[in-house]
Amino acid sequence: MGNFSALILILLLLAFYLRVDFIFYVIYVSVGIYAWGRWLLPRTIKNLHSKRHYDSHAFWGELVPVTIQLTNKGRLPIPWIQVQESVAIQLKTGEPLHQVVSLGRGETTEFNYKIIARRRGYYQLGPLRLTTGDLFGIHPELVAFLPADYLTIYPRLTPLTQLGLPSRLPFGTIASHQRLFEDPARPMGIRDFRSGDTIRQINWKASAHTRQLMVKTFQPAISLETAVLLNLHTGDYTFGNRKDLAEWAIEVAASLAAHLVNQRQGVGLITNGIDPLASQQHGFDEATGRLLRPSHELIQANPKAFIPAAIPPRNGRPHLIKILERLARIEAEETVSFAEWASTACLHLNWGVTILAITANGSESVCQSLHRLVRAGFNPILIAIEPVYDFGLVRQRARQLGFTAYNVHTPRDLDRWRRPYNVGAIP
Amino acid sequence: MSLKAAEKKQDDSSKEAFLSIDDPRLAFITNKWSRTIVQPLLISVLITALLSAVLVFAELVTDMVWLPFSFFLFFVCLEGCYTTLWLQQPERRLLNHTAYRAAELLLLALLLRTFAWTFTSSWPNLADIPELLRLPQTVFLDAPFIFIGILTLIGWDRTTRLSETFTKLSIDQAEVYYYSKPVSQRDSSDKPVRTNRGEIVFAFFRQWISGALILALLTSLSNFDVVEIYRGSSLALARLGLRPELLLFLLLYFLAGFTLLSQAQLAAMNARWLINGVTRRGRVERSWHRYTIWLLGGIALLAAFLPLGSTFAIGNLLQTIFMVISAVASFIVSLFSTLLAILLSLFTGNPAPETAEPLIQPTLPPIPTPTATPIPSALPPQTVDTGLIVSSLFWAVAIVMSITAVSFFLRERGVKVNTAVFQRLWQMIRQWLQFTWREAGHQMRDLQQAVRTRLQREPKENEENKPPWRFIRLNALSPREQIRYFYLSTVKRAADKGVPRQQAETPLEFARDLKESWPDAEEDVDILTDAFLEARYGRSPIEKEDVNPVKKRWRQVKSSLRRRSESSH
Repeated sequence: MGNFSALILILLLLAFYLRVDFIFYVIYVSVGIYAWGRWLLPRTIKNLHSKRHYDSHAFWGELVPVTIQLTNKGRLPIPWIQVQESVAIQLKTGEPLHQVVSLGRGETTEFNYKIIARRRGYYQLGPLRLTTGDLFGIHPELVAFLPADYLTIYPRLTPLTQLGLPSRLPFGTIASHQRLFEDPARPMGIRDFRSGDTIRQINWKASAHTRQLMVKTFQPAISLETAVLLNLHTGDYTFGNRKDLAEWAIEVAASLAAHLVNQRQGVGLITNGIDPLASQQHGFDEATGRLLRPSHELIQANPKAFIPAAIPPRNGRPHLIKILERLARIEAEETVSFAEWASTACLHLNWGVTILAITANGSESVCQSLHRLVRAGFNPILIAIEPVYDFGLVRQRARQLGFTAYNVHTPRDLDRWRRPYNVGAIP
Repeated sequence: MSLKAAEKKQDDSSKEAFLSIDDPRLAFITNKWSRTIVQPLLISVLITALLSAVLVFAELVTDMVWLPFSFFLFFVCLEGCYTTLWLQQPERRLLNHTAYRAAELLLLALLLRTFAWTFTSSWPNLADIPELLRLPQTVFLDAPFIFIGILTLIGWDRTTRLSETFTKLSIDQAEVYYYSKPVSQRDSSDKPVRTNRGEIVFAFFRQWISGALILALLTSLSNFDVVEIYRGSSLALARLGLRPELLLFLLLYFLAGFTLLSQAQLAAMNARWLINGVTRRGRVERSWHRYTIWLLGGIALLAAFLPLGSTFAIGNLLQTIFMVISAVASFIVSLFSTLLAILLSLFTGNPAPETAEPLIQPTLPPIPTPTATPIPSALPPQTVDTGLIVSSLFWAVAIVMSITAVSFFLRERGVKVNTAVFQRLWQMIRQWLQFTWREAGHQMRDLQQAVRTRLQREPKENEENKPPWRFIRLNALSPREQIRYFYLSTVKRAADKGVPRQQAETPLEFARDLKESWPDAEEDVDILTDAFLEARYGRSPIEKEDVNPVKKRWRQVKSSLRRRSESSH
């Protein structure tokens, strides 16, 4: 307030001209209050320490409690401080954190609120806006910010029980109906010797006991080392809302990867979508709080710079988390078409790896690309995301070209992989 | 829906509209202690301190004691605050505020009149009451009443405005009702008009600063004639050449002002928090008040130990700088004014006069011409006194208005007068009057009987023309009656000495006879006769002090008569 300075100046003039000493006392009080506010306010903010406690990763639909600790480490109390946390609209649940408190010297207070993981993504939590001021309104209010933290929300996972996918790799951990892949490490029983049985499979103890040749039987098993080949090139998506279809493709990829890791199989991820975090200058949308993708022009200038590196197939939960984190951030974009990209993307994979190619549809070019993968010794499986009314033709074409094709357009289409184990069979 | 159910629903909705003070949604409203105790007290202290400084200044100028009127001013401020708060309540919306305020002012004027008479010990005497009744303006036209009346009016006005300011700053029920609802449930038609509270706080701040400057100026002016006093104390405040009361008022004004500023800021912040949907934790307000008190107290205490203006070098240096600047400024102003005067003289053609001020011829005060004192007529006035009628009318209207105003003021405040008491009192008075009337009737009858009996008796020879002997206590008579007594006793004594007054003789004719018989008492007889004529026919009041000279003359006439009879014997 400018008038306050004017008051002090006029009082000074009066005091000097009229020689009234007492007015100096009033000046001291006025200046003291003014100076106190000016001196204290910046220090108040400086002495405030805050920390945000929360789980930085959340699964879809999870309720995440967030606790903010605010500590006044100064020697003087803070009469009022306004705390406002910026939370993305898509994460909001209940009342937002917008409170005013007073803090004593050395006092710590906690603010709790919850966010809900409604949509996969990489979100910004905060920043926490701290506002304080003096008690007389003489000085303008002072604002400080607690830096933002980040939260990763994984894609929605649909629990699957049995995929029943074919594999060319023997000696895995998944039981198979293909006798070709009987695993000698998984003895199942004994039977009478038949002509053609190898002598190494004879159970000599049982044969001696029964006085006739008995051979061991083994449970067939396959190793399903898999790479998820996720096509997020928007040019390949032609039906309806591309954005929703891309989201659905990511969810399917995440569900399949999670299932396979649960089955202790190695899973990798190769995608032609973009990871906005790969950009040097990334920002967040103020309204939604989500990580903003780089501009279209920037991507088009060098699309491959934004395509994340492939994650090679590995097993174990940490590896799954890595895949899910990538899937949480990934975005569909105009990059490289599936036909151009698929063959080169799989070059580093081992022979016989099952490739779950999740793409928009089973067009001829897609089938040709997959056929090339078959010929290269891989085991590709086509999972088409867009609804195709004559998918039978695609399936027939795929069979002729040496791979299997599925149309997974809705969550209901995943039901075939959610049946109990003993009922399961390859469709 | 039945009518009853509809009424009940409406009742419920109205209950919902007016929240109880304990409602958690009202946590934003500054607590009731602040609103009802602290703020009115601070406002009253602030205004009283400012006006009391004026009183102190008036004491210095007029050599009269004005300071006790501070208590009355404080009472007026407090009353103004509480009445404003009371009138702001939703239940008083239908009350005529202007009429109520007018009644309040009238009541305050009556109280001030009573306080001023009590304090100055100038309650009117019984003897003065006729004069006051005849000249009502004399009741109000005295210095204490007018001066304190003006201060009271100013104080009341400022207090009322400040109270209204704080009422505007605080959150009202409509705002709480609207903003405490979730955003989705808010009805835009219920949205209260936004008040610019920041501007209101700023306006209060400006007013406070203006008052502070007035106070500082008064303090400075009151310090001019004060000699330097005790300088030995370690506390710098004791070294000041100010009156301690003025020092106290200055301190109170600033501390109360700062506290009120803090309260105003809190009210504005509360409103902002409510409107912005900020949840407030319980301790904020308590901490705010506590911190304000500690801060103000601490700084005020610290400032008391700091060196004052003229006691340290920087003060002297600054003073010198200011003096130099002012000297330069005054020189420039005088230079410009001289140049301007010369320029103007060129245009008008007349040379600029050497002396700025024309010589003023001293004028003698007008010599009062003696006017003939009208001799009052011996006969009672035949025409009706219009002044008396006007004053009676004035008093009648004033009394009716006062009673109406006071009863209106008190009735609205819930003070109910028990009429049964008055009715009982009136019955008692009536019974007493009836009894007295009956008794008087009986006594009159007895008296008539006694007179009749006495008249029937045979009168004695020596008692034939002699009035019955009667003892008169002179001091028990009024001044007017005493003078009449002096004259009549002189007439009686003169008659005893052989100069009787004829029935057709006027006092002046009889005085001539007396002067012829007693030439040495000529002057005394004239004065005694004049005094009698004034007492008998005059209207102006006769004071006790007027009786003594007449009494002296009467004694001299009496002794002259006695000497004359002794010498004749």
